Amino acid sequence: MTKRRNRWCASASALAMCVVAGSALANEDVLRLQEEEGVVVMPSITYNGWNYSPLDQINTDNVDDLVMKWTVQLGITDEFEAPPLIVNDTMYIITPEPNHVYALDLTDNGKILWEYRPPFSDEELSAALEVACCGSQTRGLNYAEGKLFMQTLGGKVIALDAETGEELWLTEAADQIYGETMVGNGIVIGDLYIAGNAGGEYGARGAVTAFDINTGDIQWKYYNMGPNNEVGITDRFQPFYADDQIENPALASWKGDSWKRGGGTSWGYFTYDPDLNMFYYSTGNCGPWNPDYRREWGQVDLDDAGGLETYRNNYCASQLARDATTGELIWAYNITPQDQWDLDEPLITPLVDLEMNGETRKVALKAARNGYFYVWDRETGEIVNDPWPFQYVDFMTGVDKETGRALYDIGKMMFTNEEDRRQYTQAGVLSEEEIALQEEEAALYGTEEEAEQVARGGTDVSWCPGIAARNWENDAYSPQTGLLYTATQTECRTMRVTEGEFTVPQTAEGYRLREYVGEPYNVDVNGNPTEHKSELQANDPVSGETVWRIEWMESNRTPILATAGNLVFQGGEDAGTFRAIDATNGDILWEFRTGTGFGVTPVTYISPEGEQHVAIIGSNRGADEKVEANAEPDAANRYKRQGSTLYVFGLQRDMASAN
Amino acid sequence: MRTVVRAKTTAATLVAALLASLGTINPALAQDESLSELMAEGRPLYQDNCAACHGDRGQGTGTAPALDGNVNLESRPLIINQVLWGSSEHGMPPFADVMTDREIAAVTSFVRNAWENEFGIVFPRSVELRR
Repeated sequence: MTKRRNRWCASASALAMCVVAGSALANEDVLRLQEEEGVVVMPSITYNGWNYSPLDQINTDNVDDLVMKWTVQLGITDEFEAPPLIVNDTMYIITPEPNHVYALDLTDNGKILWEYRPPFSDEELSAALEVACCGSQTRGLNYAEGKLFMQTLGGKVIALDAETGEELWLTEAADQIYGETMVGNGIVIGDLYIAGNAGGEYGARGAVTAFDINTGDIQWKYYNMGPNNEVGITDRFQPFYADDQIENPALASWKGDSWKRGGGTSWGYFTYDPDLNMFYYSTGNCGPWNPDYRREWGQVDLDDAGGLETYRNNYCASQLARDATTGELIWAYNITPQDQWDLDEPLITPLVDLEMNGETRKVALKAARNGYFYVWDRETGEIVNDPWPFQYVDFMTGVDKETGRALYDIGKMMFTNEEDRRQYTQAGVLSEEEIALQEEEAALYGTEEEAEQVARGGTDVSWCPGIAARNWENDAYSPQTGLLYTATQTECRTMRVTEGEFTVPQTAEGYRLREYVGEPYNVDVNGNPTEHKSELQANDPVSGETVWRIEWMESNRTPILATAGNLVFQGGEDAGTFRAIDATNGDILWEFRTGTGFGVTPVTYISPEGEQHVAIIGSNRGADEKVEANAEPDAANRYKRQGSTLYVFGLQRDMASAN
Repeated sequence: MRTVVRAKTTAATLVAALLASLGTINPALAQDESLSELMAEGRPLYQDNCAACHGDRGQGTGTAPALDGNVNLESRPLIINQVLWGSSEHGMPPFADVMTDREIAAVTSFVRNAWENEFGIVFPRSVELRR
């Protein structure tokens, strides 16, 4: 029987919080299953977020013998980004819009056991897409206690019976009037399914919500900015740095009521430490992109080293740690204060115990979108490494270990008005070329508005990494090598911020208040011009070094799986090729051309016959990669056709033995 | 990029001079005449290159947002740069190497003035200036 709910646990007020006593810490079923080799019950496989499999039948010695075992056509022409789950000889896959869920029988080459289609209309989807920045992707399913948990872009949170596909409950959890959507990320802890929200481009206010896994009732919801009681700040909040040890840190750091539409959404993955009973996530870009709407207009207060003193806009573009039962905020660290460069930090926070400076530290890792590599003590929020840039970064010069502040180059900060900018710097004032362009266009089009724009002046800022050194795609951490594997990008960009206003209800016009200017350009880690667009990096969190990197000439940012076979698996979006890579040195050991792109992590599991298999979904967005009939045979997009297919691979000897 | 300091009055004065230099040309009339041509050229380009993601009526799809009624199109630099250079973060491919200046002017003029949109023409020179 289906229960559909749309209510708070205790209050009808969307702003009133309610906290109930949790009866459990980690979910025992999830804890047990994540220890079973080849079982995948959540994105990134385990609570610690490693996306690492202990399976080693397929390894560096035999990976060249991988052959295709079976495939399933998934029938949706869009990019799949949600990792498949593997439980009880069943593979569960959720598609992008319209968010169908498949249960595939691994004992019968992927026979479809059941298919679930969520109850939403085209009108509902259109309404959600109006306020979705980046398509209708979904990024996760979770499994616990015989149930699957999923989200739709429009904000339906749904539990299914994993055996039958029957809908158990459905709770409405997003408000598109304020630009809010959901993209599928969640984690099951105790009897709670904890999920985030999206919409930082459209005025949404970031939050995390906990649903009872048995009923769908909302147990608590806390925002990432605003008054203490709405953020979950109690006397248990013990941030490490002084900037956060103030009254109402998530309110006082905003101009006026700008926190109400401040972005900082929670659209990335969560990790969890059962011993500390704390879960970890980081938040999206501050909103709107134009920072003048979140500070005293045109005013920036940097300390002598370049650290931002005022209007830090806590806690967008930040790292947060919360109690997993009550939701209370334990510590927070603002990674990119007053973010104005679209530096979402929704990526996963792997949890590792490391030997650092002669002692074992329980740490949280982050190869951040701002291009710096951070290692925090995950109990306190103290930075325990010397944060270092793994890609070229020019808007920051470093991190002050005493204050914890990111150190900014004032020349890279955004101002709406030229005269405000000139108080601090001449950098970024329009170039002669841009002024000439504007003047010519004002004459060409002959409009008063353009003449006014030229007269007003303006500012453009080129910065690296523009718009980020990486994106949401799962990292992988291998305890064998001690390396964190990350897909990065080399792009820099130029942008200007613009004026506008937030409207309710929110519409497709958005609330970004920025324009890109000119052509993106690419630089290597030293800031030298380069032709390669992205990299696969293996970074050592202890030594602070990139141990190896593969440079991709075409963009190739896809999630990464590491295995105990000393392998890294990654879909090669650059060439439509699925790859196995030596985890120690980055040698490409095996490739298989599927002829399409990738947006999802590979998964690996033990087949009913006891053999290790590796699976990946090849997919592409609509007509992203239009291929002209007369394209050259080696054209970059020749092998990035649209379509969506699950490919399953195993070792050649399986096939021989089966015959 | 070299930066220069210019007084606002200098820019304003120059623009005023440029506008005055248009003399007897009626910019609005010139735009009307060219717009219909560019719209006609842009319609099939849109169907071939854009409709699969943005919808055949600009209504948007699961892959890309609606263009009909999208006031972001009001910004000519934004739409030109978006088509020229794409937005890899948001799944939009670049067309700088795929289309000519005139073709990009045609397709951007089309989407800015098709359906319920009335945002005005894009001249090929504006595309050329941004390459």
